[in-house]
Amino acid sequence: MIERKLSIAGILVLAAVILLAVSYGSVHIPLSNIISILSGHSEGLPETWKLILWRIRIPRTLAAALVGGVLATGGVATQGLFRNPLSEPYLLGISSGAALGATIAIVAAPSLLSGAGLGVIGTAAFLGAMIVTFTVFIAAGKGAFKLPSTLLLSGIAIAFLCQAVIWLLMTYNRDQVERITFWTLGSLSSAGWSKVLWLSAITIPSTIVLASMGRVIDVLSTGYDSAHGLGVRPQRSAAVILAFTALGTAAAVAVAGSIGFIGLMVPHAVRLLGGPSHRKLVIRSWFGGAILLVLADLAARTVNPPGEIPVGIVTALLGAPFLLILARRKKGEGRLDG
Amino acid sequence: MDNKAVVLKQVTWRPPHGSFEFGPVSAAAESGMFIALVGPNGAGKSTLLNLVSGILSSKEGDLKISGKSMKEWTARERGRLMAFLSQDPERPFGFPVTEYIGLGRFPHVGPFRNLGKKDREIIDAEIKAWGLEALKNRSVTGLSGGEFQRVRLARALAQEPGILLLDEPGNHLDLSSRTGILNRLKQEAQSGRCVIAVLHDVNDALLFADQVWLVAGGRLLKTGKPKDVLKPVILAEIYGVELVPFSSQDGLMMLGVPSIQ
Repeated sequence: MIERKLSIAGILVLAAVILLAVSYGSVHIPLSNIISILSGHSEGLPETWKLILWRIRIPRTLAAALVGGVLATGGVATQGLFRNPLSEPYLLGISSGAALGATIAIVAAPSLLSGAGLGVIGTAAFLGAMIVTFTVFIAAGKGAFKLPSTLLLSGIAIAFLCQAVIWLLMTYNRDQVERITFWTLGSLSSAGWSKVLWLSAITIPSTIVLASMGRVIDVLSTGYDSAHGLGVRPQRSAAVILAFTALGTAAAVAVAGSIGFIGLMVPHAVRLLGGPSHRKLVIRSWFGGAILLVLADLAARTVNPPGEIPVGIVTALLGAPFLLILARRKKGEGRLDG
Repeated sequence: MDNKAVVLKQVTWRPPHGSFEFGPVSAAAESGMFIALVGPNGAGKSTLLNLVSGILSSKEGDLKISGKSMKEWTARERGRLMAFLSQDPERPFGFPVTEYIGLGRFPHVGPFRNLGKKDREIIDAEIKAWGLEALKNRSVTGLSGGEFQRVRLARALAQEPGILLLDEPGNHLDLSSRTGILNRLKQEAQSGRCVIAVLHDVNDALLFADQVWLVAGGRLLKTGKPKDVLKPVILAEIYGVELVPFSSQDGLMMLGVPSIQ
């Protein structure tokens, strides 16, 4: 009963925040007018409203939902697999790889503007994320899933390496520092329809695969040997789950930069609300992440109009206190990992 | 029907690095038997259990589970056939006890189907059998070591396996819970399962097991009835501790450490 309610609530709240987000901005478009424009009855309404809605706010808001959703499901998958509540998808080297790819693109071809689809920077970020993640897996070696700490350590080491190269490139390209910094902080301002399509094509299948493997993640979260004894092939299942996590996260980061805290925070919040079973946690966290990022993006562009603050700053401002509260709560229960 | 649950023929295993070598080992475990693996630390008891469970795979020798080699079973078939309770202490955060025990039904229901009435009955029966009613809704993360060990045993038995592999099932448990486990394992063996458990206390093996496999230095030194295998002379040789036999009240043989030197 509660479960059914939670899923319906997720859909309704997401729909509500999406309407809210397309309504507010530098120009306020009342809800009734949004509905008329969406249903094709826009006679007498300003042409600019239609333009703002269809060309800017709707794709941007949908992109926020898709990015937020996939980051949160990636968080669920990595936390469950690594049996570590502090895991998040970025630990696999995805965000540092994407940042390195983007930095190289910005430095090498500063005059190229984002074109159709992902654009040069987005494509470079996506490739960087995939290459670096692959390197992290290779560096961690064969037993990586048996001892997740080797995978996490290799992810952290390679992230530092990428960061060092980024700083080096920044040192020699002072004029691009601002662009690189803002890319890293994350933003959805460049999200148009082509990016929404691209995001859907990758993140929706990846989320479906992860959701369908929810119970396998449950089994894997009991530990490598236990999972084997319960009738899964831990190595193979973990590889599939991590590959789809990496793919989805890389797509999100390529479009929106490395927006922090969603992958870490949302799974914890959803687990507190609806329990730890991964079969439901994956989908619920998708909704949680989507709702949170749509709201965070709305805040990022309305706090100080017409200027924007990077959305990554908003999620970090929300995320840090949340984590502190979570840590205190857990301490009260005498454990940090529950 | 072939009642040989596990047959090992000249099974040998070498780790990728290091000089330790396990085997060659040959032995057979029948259904309806409670077999205790006894031996000093580092002798290879866990390696043997890992080989039988399929976590380690040996390239030399022949290992048959229920008449087929490991590769012929799919992972889920293997899960229905054989439960393995390792020593790894991992606890998935926040999992309630009932749901955790329910994971034992995974090989039966698979990744998509919901737990059915029969599954719930099995889970409830195990909760009752291990006296976990009061902990049912607690998170496994907050349990004591002994409580969690009972929950893990309940999970393994909820799997309804024909073969039960347990690495030190009495870990973390007080005397009464440990006796409870050993009694239950003996009962499971009598009902037709094949139970193979690493036991550290030779007296537990003497009192409960049908057979003892004595493991030392990566080899199977001797197999047979507990009384025949666990002889003070042999144990003194492998453990380097003198043991004296004495009889318990009901005439069963026990071994004791004579005095502190």
